[in-house]
Order: sequence, then C-alpha cells, then structure tokens
Amino acid sequence: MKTSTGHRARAVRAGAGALAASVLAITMSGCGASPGGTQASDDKTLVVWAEGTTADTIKSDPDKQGKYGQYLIDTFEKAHPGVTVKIENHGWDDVLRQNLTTALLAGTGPDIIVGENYFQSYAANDALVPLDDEIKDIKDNLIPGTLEAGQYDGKTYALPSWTGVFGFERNCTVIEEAGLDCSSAPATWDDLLTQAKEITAKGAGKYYGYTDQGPQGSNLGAVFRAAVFLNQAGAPLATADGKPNFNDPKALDVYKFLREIDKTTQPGLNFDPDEGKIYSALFEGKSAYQVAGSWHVAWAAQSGCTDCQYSMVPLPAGGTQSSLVVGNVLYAVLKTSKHVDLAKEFVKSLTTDEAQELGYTAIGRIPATKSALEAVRPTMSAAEQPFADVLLNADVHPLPQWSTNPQQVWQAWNDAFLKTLTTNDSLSDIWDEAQATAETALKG
Amino acid sequence: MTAITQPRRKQRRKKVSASRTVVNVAMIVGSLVMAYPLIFGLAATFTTVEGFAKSTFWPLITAPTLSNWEAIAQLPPTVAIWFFNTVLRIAWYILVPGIVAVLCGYVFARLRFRGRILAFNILLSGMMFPGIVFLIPTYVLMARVPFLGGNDATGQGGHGLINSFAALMIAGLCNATYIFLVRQAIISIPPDFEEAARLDGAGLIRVLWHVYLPLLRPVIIVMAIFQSVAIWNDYMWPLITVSGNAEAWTIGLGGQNLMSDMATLKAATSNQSVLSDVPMAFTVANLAMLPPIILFFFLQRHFVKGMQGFSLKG
Amino acid sequence: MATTQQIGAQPIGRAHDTSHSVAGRVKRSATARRQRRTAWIILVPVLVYLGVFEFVPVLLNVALSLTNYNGISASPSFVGLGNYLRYLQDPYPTVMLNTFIMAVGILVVQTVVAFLIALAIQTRVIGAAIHRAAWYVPTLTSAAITTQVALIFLSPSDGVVSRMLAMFGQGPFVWTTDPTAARIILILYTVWHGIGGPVLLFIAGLSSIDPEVYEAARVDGAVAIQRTFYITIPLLKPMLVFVLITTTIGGFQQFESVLLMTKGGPLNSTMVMLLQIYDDAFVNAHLGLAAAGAVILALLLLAFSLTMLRMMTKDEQR
Repeated sequence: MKTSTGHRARAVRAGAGALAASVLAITMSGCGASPGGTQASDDKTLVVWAEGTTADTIKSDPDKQGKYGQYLIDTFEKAHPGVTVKIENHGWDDVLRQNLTTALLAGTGPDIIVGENYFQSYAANDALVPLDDEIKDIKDNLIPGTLEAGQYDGKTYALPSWTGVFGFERNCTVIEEAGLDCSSAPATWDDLLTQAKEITAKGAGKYYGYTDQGPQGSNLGAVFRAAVFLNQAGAPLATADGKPNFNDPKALDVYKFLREIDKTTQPGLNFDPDEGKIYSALFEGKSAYQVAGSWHVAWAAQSGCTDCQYSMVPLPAGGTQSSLVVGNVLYAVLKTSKHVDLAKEFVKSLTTDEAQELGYTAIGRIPATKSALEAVRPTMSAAEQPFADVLLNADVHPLPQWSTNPQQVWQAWNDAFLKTLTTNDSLSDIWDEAQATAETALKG
Repeated sequence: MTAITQPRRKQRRKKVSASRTVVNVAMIVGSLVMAYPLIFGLAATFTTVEGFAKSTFWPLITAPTLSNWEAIAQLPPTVAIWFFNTVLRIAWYILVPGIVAVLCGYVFARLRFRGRILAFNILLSGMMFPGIVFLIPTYVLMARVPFLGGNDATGQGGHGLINSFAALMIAGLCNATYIFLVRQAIISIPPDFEEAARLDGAGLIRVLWHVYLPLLRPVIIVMAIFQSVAIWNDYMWPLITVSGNAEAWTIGLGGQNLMSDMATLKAATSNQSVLSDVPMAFTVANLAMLPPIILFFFLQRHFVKGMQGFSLKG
Repeated sequence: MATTQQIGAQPIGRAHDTSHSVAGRVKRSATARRQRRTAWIILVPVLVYLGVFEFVPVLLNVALSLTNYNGISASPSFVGLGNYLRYLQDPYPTVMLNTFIMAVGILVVQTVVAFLIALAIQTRVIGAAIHRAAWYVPTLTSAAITTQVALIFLSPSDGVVSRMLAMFGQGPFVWTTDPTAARIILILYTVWHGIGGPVLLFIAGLSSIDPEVYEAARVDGAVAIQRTFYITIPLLKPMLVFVLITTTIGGFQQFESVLLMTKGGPLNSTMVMLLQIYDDAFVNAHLGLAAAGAVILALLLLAFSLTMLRMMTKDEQR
C-alpha cells in the first residue's frame, strides 16, 4: 500500500474530525441532550426497525438501493410536518429477536418492528396493534399469502413491504445434453421423477437430474422447499388451527417422492451446510432441476448460467398449484409505541403503489400488492414472469409459525427428514415419531 | 572436557538432533495446518465470485484480480470514525482492566485477610455464568440510569446511555479472568524480590511498579493482546447498545454491516440484489483482521523481550 | 475452592516466624491490619462494581428462572422450580450430555496440544517466532470467515476430504449426517480457533521458570522427559490451572462454531447448552426457561471446575 503525504494528511484530518465527534458524543451523552429532558419519542420521532438493506443503503447506496428507504422517509415527513422518521437496522432472525427482547425489557423499543416469521406469537401476547381499520380499503389489493404471517385470530397485525416466492428452475443445457426436451418444465411429479432418473443415468457423475436440499440443525432451508410439495399435495405442515400435521397420509406420499428424487442428487451435495453451494450446482451445469426462490433469476445470470429457465412447480396427481412466500418482509406496530396512529399510517404507507414499485426498481424485491405487481410485470424479464404467475394465480402461503417452541418443532421435522433421506426405515414410523415430538414440544 | 566424556556427548548430540528434527518437522506441519485457513481466506480475496465458486482446497485463482480490494478503497469516510472509536475503546479497556487485574491479583496472591477465600471464590463464580446472562440486565441498567439520556430521577422515560458512546466504555472494566491470571502469575514469583524491596522501605505502589510489573510483562502483554482482539471484534454489545447512533459505531459493528452491504451491493445486477459475494465478504473480513494481526506482531517483540528480561535475573 | 497454597508461592510476611514472642504478636497483628486495610481499599470498589455488573444480573437471572416470562410482553408468573424440572425432560438431558462430551474433548485436546506446542517453541525450534504467530493468529480471526473456509474444505460434495476419498474409490465424506463425525469436527474447529491463547499463556509461564533449575537437573542426570514431568509441569502448575479452568469455561460455553457450522444437527447431536439457551430465550419465547438453563450451566461448570481444582491441588496441604 502506498503512503503519501496526501493520504496521511487526509487521515490526520479524519482522525481529528473523529476525535472531535467522539468528544462531542461523550459529553452530549453524559448530559442527556434531549431538550427539556423529555423522552425522545415525544419529539415526534418515529423509530422504525427495518430490514437490513432498506436501512443500510440509505447511507451506503443513496443513488440506487437507498432510494427506497429515503422515499419512505421523505414522503412520510412531508405528509406529517414536525415528524422525524428514523430507519434503523438491528439485525435479522435471532439477532433481531435478541435485540428486540432486550429493548422491550428495558423500555427502549421502537415504534415499528420488522420480521417475517414471529409476529403471530407477538400478536398472541398482545404486543402488537391490530391494523384492520387501516387496511379496510386496501385489503383486496394485497396478495393473500403475503399477509398471512402477520395475521392472528382473524386480525391483521402487519403489512408487507415486499415478498418473494418459490418457483421451479431448469438448466436446459444439461437437459438437452441428456437428450430430453427442455421447451417446457415437467408437468407432474411422475414426469419429473422419470426425467431426473434418466438424466442422472445419462450423466454418469458429470451431472445429475435434481438437486434436493437436506436438513441442517434447526434451519429452515430444507423444510421451505419440501413444504412447496406438501402444500401441492394437500398435506400442509400445519392444520388450520396451527397444530402439526407431520404424519398425514398424504404427506407420507410426498416423503416417498422426495426420498426417491433425492437419489438423483449429487451425493453429498444435499447435505452440504452451504445452501449457496447446493443451488449453484445447477448454474454450473451439474444439475438439471430444482425448486427455486425468486432471487435465483439474478443469481443464475450472475453465475454464468446461459440457459436457465423458470416455471411453476410440477404437480402431483390431483394436486393444486401451490407455493410458499419467502423473504416476505412484514412491518408491525408495537403497542408500547408512543405514536400508535402515526406508526399505523407509516406501515400503511409501505403498501402504496409507489412504495411497492420502488421496492422492485431500487432493490429488486417483488411487490406484495396486486396492482404494483401488475404494474412492474411488463418490465420484468421473461425469467421472472413465472414467479409473478405463481404469486397471482397459485395458492400461496407462508411457513407455519408454531405457537411455542418453534425451534424444537422444526428440529423434529428436520430430524425426521434426515432419517427419510438417509435410511430406508418405514416412513410412517419416522413421521409418527416426529409428530409425537412436535406435539410434546408444542405443549410448552 | 576429558576424553571419557567426549564420546558420550557426541552420542547425546546425535540423539538430540534426531528428536529435534522430528519436532521441527512436526511443528512445520502443525503450523501450516493452523495457518492454512487464513492463507485461504487471504487468497480468496483475489478471486471473483465465479472463480471462487469452483474452489476446493485452494481458491481457484484463474486470473488473480484486485477488484475486491479496489472496491474497498472506496470505503465511506465513517470508517475512520469507527476506527477511532474502536482504538479509544481498546486503549481504555487495556488500561483500566489491566490496573484492576494487577492490583486485585496482587491482593489475592500475597495478602492475608479475613474473607480472602470467600471474595476470591465469588470472583471466580462470576466466570461460570455464560455472557448471555449479563447481556440483558446490563443493557437495562444502562437504559435506566437516572438523570441521563432523558431519564427522570427513577430512570424512566428516556433511553439512558443507550446510543451514546459511554455505553461502550462502562461495562466489563473489572475482569475476573485477568485478576485470576495475574494472581496465578504472581504466585509463581518467589516472594524474595518483594521482601528485598520492602526491607528497603518501598510502599505498595513502588513494589508493584519496580518489582512486579517487569516480571509480569509477558502476562500483561498477553492481556493486552486478548483485550485488543476482544474489543476489536466486539460486535454483539455495540449492536445492542449503539445501533441507532452511527457516530458511536465501532469497527466490529460497522465492519459487519459493511460486509453484508458490500457483498450484496457488488453482486447487484440490473435491479436485483443477490446472495453474498463471498470474495468481497472475505476482503472486508480480512481488512478487519489485519489490525489485530499487526498489533500482535508488534507486541510479540515486546513479549519476547519481556521473557528474555526475566531469565537474566539470578 | 481455590487455595493460595501453590508450589513455590508464599504470602508475604510469613518469612520470619515471630509468632511466639509478644513483640512478634504485636508485629503480626500490625502487619495483618495493614494487609487487611490495603486489601479492602483495593477490593471494595472492585466488588461494588462487580456487584452492580455481575452480582445483580446473576440474581436477576435466578429470579427470572423462577418465572415463565416469555420475553415479549405481559407479566410473568411465578412457577417455582418448574423450569428446572423441565430440564430433566427431553431434549435437555441430551443437550447437557452433548455439551459435556464436546467440552471434555476440547479441554483434553486443546490443553495437551497447547502445552506440547509451547514446549517446542520454548526449546528453541527453528523459526519459533513464526510458529508462535501461526498458532496464535487463528484466535484473531472472525469465526464468520474461518467457519466458511472450514465448510468449504469439508464440503461433503467436493471438499478436499471428499475428493481424496474419491481418489480411493470411496463415497463422499458426508459428516453432516453423522453425529459422531459432526462432533469431532466441531471439537477440532474449536480447538483450532481457541488454542492460540493457551499457547501464549504456556509460553509466558514456561519463560518464568529459571533455566538454572533445568541445569541442576541435567547435571543430576535427568533426561528430557523426566525434566518435563518433574520440573516443568509442577512449576507450571499455576498457569496450568488457569488454562484448564478457562478452557473448561470456554468449552462449556461453545456457541458460535455450532451456530455457524451445524446449527445443532445432525439429529440434535451437536446441540449444546448455550445454543439451546439462546434459542429458548429468543426463538422459543421461553426467557424463564433460558434463565434456568444458564443457572444449570453455571452450576455444572462450577462442579466440574471444583473437581478439577481439587484433583490438581490435592497433593499440596498447607
């Protein structure tokens, strides 16, 4: 690394500036800088804990991705003079949960929180503000599956900023090399299974017919994809009232299918702890078919796949076209907020056409409202169209949220799935055991 | 050297060199194994996403590229603030826990008083609880400090020290592990040195400064290294306490956010942000690892000097 | 628990036995008073600080463990020892067993290897400074990168090990489905990442041993192994005790590596207590149960460390 006086002088100036800033920060903090000694929130500041990209890119990429977050702030502040909106990133998944729990215990929680799969338990514990009044006029415009994760006991508590969904992906180079037709995806599971076996046989170790993801710890990667098939077969993971449905006879058929098709996956790949590596195999011409999230389109292109095509997921005999929403980011209002009405309005502002469309043009996420999705559809590439199809026409749901001990319930499912894929034990035995474990876990 | 002893010495030298060779070879293999993942991580910063995806036991450097490092050069200026905050924290967290450790370590190693064993056991039992136990209560403590940060007399209403730099400087100043370490170190030092100094009329401070500090140099340097690394890499505490105040961020927090941002930024094509750009993530992480490594090399020399210094004593 | 009686250590002021004369008794009590005063002047602020930042949180944690607080909202209710009883039922005994197995593995491997390496470096192997750096630098790294590298290296589909096995016509190395293999890999990774500290500490400890002691032994005819066992290890005992205890604490509190590499699988074989506690607190919404888990973990650690300390210091009566 070269050092020059220019660099050094700049560094010294930066250091001096930082020194001044730090001294200022320390002295200000010690003196309780809020004017009048009143609580910060009373100054009409709306604190929003937002999704990572939304929050960070406001500063780090203001010309492209940051436009989304900045738009939300600007439009809301203009409509409500005197209100400041602060958008902050406090992590995702368990880190977010940790920060939220800590803040709630200390009384420093925000007005609005973000999440994908934990709002139902918060609603059940009366921590969230129902939004039904707010959404009376827009409810029909929201794609149903995108709301579900934020609904509890008939009420809606959260609204989506954007969503994603699972479709199906195929690598035509591989398929044609195996001598099969790639003009359309297999329509049924039987077709898929036959083709996968044939491709694997022809591949002789160079390429395989299907990529299946195995379970890892209590991670959700495998169950997300399996759930697509389960939903299609009419054997969802949970019943309507949130009880586990692991050993449904129709589910056993699905597991039988998955057990079969798993054998056409490159050995070892299905149990690789790196999810990215599992699905990249197709981009590199090592696999022919896989379930794909809507982000696969850009990923495949960037990985150099010239002939990756997309479609809806193949159906079982007598099944219905179903899928799962994933990456479905929801925002909710905490009851402890000091500006509940303002917060409700902000959350609603996420669902305007402008905001939803900007989410796509700036950050590339799929809108969660029908009008916005239809509006951006013409600009979507041919590869992305099937995902829009799935969202608008298929029966789309989120993964179930267990009322208690979700980690243990998912662990039970993962363990059973592992046994399904690695042993030849009776499927009803395996899944009866999983059902029992899950039920025990759910008793709390 | 008589003729009788010479053959025996030659024999011993041969045996020594045989086992010595084995040791040397084993050490080289061992050190290579230890260093391998880091060399891998460094090499990976010179690959592209496609090149890296094909890597097995060596990042596939088809054509080494500096593109990751060039992107790094466009770091936002806030990194300087993070760097400064972190250095300030490190200095503070070496000084204060260090002083406390030496004082308390001496007390527990040398002084006799009623309650000594009980106090020491209480100290040690604190170490048995996982850090997660202290996370939430300490956070609540800082948020509910009366009169600060908008709080009233009972600590309600505002946000206390949260989101201020002070929140990063108050916790963890009395570290039981280091007290324990210094105590063990002092125990292995013969009491003669101190007694000689005492007979000359030295008080406690002089004894500590002139007698113990030189002898404790290796241990103090080890503590300094441990603390520097811990503070430099500290992510969870800054995340919880100062996420909302970018001026108070540290390298651990800012670096982590930067890493995920840059990884998704760089991989963005057309309008979509994609999964992580691993070489880019590695580059930012390597950057974050460099200062502790440099510090270690720098301190290593003092470490060695400290050790050599002792063996000169009678 | 711990005693100040270690080989070679003497508290100050005992050098001359003046206990039986009046002057001696006066001198002793004056000394004792001075020592007491000094001790408490130093310790009181420290204990107050620790009281606020450690004692109070621990008490709060114990109080929390007696409730069924879920960490979201609403007021918790007192459930007495209910959470502790819950720890006797599945899956917690397995979790505790996992933790114990892996902690012992880490303890043994890390301590023994660190000692051997420190010994080698101290006895002037070629390029000692480089070796010392190579063994310590892994500790400086972020687990995020190094686990990534480890996962690439160990990738079941095309990692180095699988490829080597393929050369011999064997199937791929799918450690992610085998409980024993997964545990061994985690132990090895944790040792790799954490061994730097003990190595440095042992070097520091070894360096404080007067080389004349070795000379005297060598003149007496002791060979290298005898010198190691009868001089080095006993003189290194204080440092050894420190390393054993801190490695145990670290081993029982394994968290990041499991989180990043196996997430508790396969078949719950690598689910360690701290990960379970964390999940219970923030995913399963059972903050009270998590608090109980922390107390149990601390008690287990305490019991283990106490036993170890007793074994190490049982031959020193004072």
